[in-house]
Amino acid sequence: MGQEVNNEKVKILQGNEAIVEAAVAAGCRFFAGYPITPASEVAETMAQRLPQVGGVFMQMEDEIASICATIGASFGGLKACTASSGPGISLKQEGVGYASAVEAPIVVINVMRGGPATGMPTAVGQQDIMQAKYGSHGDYEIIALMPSSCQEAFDLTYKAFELSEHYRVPVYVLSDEIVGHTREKVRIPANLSPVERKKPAKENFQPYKAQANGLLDGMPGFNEGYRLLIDGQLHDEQGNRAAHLPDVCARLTERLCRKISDHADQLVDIESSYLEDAEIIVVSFGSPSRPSLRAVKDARAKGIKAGYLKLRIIWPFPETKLVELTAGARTLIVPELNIGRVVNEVKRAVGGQKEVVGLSKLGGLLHTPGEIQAEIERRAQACTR
Amino acid sequence: MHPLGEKYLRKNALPLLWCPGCGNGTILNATVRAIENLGIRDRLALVGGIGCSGWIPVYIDADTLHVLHGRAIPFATGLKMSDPNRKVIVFSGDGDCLGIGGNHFIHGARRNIDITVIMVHNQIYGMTGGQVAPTTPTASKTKTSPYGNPEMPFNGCELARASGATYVARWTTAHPRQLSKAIAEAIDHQGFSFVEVLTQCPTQAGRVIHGTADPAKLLDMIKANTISANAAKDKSAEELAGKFLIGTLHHDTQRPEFAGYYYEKIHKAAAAN
Amino acid sequence: MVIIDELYCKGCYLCSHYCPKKIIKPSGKRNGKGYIIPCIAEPEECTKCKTCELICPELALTVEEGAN
Repeated sequence: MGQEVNNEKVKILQGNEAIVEAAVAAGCRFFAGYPITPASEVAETMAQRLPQVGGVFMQMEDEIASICATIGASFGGLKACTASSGPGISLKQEGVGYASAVEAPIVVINVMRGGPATGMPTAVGQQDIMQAKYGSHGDYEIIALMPSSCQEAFDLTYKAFELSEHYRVPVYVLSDEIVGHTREKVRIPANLSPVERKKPAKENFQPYKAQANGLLDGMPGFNEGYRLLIDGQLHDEQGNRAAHLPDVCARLTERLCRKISDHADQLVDIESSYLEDAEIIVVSFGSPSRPSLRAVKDARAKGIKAGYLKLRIIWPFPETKLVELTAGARTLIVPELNIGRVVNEVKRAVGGQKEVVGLSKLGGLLHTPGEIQAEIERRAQACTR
Repeated sequence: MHPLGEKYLRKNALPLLWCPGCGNGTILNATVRAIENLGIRDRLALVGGIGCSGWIPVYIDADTLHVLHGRAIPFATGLKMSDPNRKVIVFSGDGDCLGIGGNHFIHGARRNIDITVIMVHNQIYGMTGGQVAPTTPTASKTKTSPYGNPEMPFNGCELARASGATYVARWTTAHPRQLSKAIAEAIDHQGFSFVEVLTQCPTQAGRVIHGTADPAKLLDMIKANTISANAAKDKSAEELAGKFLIGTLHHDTQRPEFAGYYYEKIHKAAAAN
Repeated sequence: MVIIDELYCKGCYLCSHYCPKKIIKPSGKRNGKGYIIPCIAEPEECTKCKTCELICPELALTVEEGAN
């Protein structure tokens, strides 16, 4: 399948399949999952592909078991991943918190569908963006990436593994039903060389002794001679329980958050077009990015100074960069497939300095370019009046 | 400290957090002897659930994962499948294993994955203060069954066997020698092995259910309520009512072990690719 | 000879209860945690069956080979 040209393979892939190809290319060798629409093709393709590269696919008894097995495999020495959607992601939340606390690198694929509850199993949604950041109990930080195409499903999943390993944190790929079930051309570089896990020095080894930047140095595995103690109870640098030691617990909790938030500048991934003189900028992410770009182009054709942003990493929220990129604009429009969540993050970032308008769409349908363009035109007219 | 304690316990984690006379320490004691006899310290992956017994592996100086309530077997599954050469031991209480983790337990047994589950059965949720458990005898009064437990208790060994476990044994902490031997057999067994340990909980089950906090009295009561599986063969149902069978209850070496079976397929798929 | 590690003993007396010779008795002495630790009242009676060592939940007992 596919042909190799200029050191890259070009394939026609479904978004869900592109995620699997990226995971395999990134060195993922363990996947545990449970069937759920619209993420099942991730599991199906993993079941086919992983054994071909010596990897393990497990269909577990439930979603909880899937994320727990994934974390176990990560400490077992393999890059590991799980995938689900809607209710399944809710069930995984305790595992996400555990992975955050013990600093297990794992990738969690969420092919978002409409919710709440069983919701709209076959229709798109972006209602899990806040859940990705806040879904488990306690204070922690994660990283989340949002693809808007099959190519980005590949590129951002590959990147998710690199970030997860580097920061030793759960990383979400917040894909969605449209990306997951769209089939389009995907370019797969032939010479990808994923980062191998760095092994910490064994001399004076302490599993939770962080470097000055808050990050742990490498990822030890079981049966490699470290005699690891990994505990979901808050722990000291040796891994011993420390729930009775307020200073130790406070320090760990703060580090778990700041190891991500302190590196927010390095975790910016934004694409932009038409920003130079833009007065109205559409701030987009995930599937609505595509009608957004069309709408901006069409508005430009009508003489409106519209601009376009696509946030490919949504958490940590790129507030500093967003403020910088939108400095010249009067109005920001935020189309999203939920009741209006990220719009509040944008408002918080710009601090009342400009008009920020949400363009919420519910019901499982994507915005049309016309709907977004109409909002751009409405705001343009309001400005000139 | 016993020389095996010196050799196998994490010194900086001591003293053990359990109440005086708790059976978890005896199980720890039996486990380090089994590990010593098998000589497999460097191949071990230990997983503890949540509850008093989940702390047993935390004290053993090997590779240890202390996980979420009920989820020890899935974590263990990930560890086993990421390297089929390791020997994975799960320590789980009766609430952790049969209550919140019941689904994982039956599916681990169904797969016959090479994991050893040591289930500590003390009839109660001890760490949370003495609430009714899936193993609490019917009519027992606990903090959450103040009018007497209206439910029937699980029989962990029968559940394990019916679900597909290929090694099943039950002992009590009054049988430390047999217990240590059973743990070694279970670890050595290729497949899902289950060792249920009936044990005394002086602080919670003792005071709340049995009206005494004396560990020796409680353990005598537990022991008196058991009968060896061999001796039970000649007994009538009436004679066995309410008794726990002890000994090796099931040992099947024929059924294929999951990780080995699956890895053969993986090797073939990888070779064909 | 039976050695009792006073540092780790929690005074539960399971060793005493299950000793077939009933030679493990309270010593009257408290350790640093306040537990009254046991002693071997009649060491010459010990058969080195190691029941005390095996049942001890603190791994605080060691039965040594050689003369009692």
